[in-house]
Amino acid sequence: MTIIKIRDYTAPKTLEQALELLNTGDYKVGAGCTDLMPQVRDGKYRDISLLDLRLLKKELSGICLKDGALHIGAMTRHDDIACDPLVLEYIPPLATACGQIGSAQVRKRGTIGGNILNASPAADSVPALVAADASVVLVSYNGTRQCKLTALLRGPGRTDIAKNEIMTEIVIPVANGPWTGSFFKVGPRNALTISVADAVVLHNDTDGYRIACGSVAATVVRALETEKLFNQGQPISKQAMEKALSQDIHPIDDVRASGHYRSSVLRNLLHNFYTYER
Amino acid sequence: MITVSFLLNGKQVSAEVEPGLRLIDLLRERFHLCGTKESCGQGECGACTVLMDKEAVHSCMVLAAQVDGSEIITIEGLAQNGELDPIQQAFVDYGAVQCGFCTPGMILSLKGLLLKNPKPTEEEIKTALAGNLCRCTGYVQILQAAKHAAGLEV
Repeated sequence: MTIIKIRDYTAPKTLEQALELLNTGDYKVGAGCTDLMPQVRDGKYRDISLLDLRLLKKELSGICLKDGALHIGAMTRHDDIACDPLVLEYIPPLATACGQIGSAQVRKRGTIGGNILNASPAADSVPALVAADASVVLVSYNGTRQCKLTALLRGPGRTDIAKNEIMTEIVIPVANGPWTGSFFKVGPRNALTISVADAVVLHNDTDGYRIACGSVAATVVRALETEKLFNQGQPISKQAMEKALSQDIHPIDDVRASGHYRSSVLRNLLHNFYTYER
Repeated sequence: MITVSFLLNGKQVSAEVEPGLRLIDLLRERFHLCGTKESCGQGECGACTVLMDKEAVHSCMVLAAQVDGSEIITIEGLAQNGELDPIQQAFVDYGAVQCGFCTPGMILSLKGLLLKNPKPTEEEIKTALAGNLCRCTGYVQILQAAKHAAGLEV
């Protein structure tokens, strides 16, 4: 039997209650807990006071279209995002990405807010959100603020969220029409895998192409030079793709893959997409 | 200690649990339902799969405190009145069980799928089972049993 090191457990019944608690106490916030549980078990966090958001599911999940943006509640589960008609219509690569997180069992618990705030460079939902220039809404006892996702993510495991804040929703601009595009993920196996490289290409007629790459930097990054190449609309050779990509990303060698492999695989995926699938 | 009240295999139960007690421990140690197995303990293998509110989840990644008000079904809760669930029967008929360690999780993942989607495609079955690892069978007989249970041609 494993009793993992959680000192106490609270499940506030309202958002107000949660924000009050966070304002005065020292809590670790949990939603689906699919990243948190293994981390506590492995000793990354010890003796935490867990503030479980599970009773706030109704308030903090759901997807709607409002004022030219797709609003996704931070507690929306990956499973629900993967098959949501609005996501499939307006930003299908996000549905694909969320549908490939973990396993079916993980997707029934894990949330998009948790995926973002765990801040792994390999977070699968993030490239689509970064490519679409998404923002997040953060609420605390003192008020509400909205900030760009790219400003929120600081590095592996680090975000700009304050100790007394809860992320309530993700806001994805779609005023220029639905995004089309693709999500690519490469890892050692087809499920339950952390990517060694992933990317999203988005396109609409006004904004042109947007490309965001994950697992190749401390946070997900936009590939601006490669975007310029895509937007020229001319055939792109593998060499040209490699040259542009090498200005955008400088992946490191780590236990999962070499930087060379990550660059090569992204180059090939993006080249394939541009040449055959767009 | 936290009091949790929930439905366990159709029966209303309650328990006093420590904050850090996992659902898998509650089931195995307190309720002596050892059909749910622990293998990796970190949501990577699916051996611990149970149905929570009719959906397959990794019970090693759910806290006991989180099941208050929920409905939990373990492998022990599938057979009704001594009759095996059709999925269980299919696993027997197609030789989909060798050591049996992955089997409860496999069956419950499938049960979760069929409760939501009674007529899945082969791809949907494979996606539903992608979170359940087997080291013995090579998956062929498991997929055959699953297809039979789903009414697909095997």
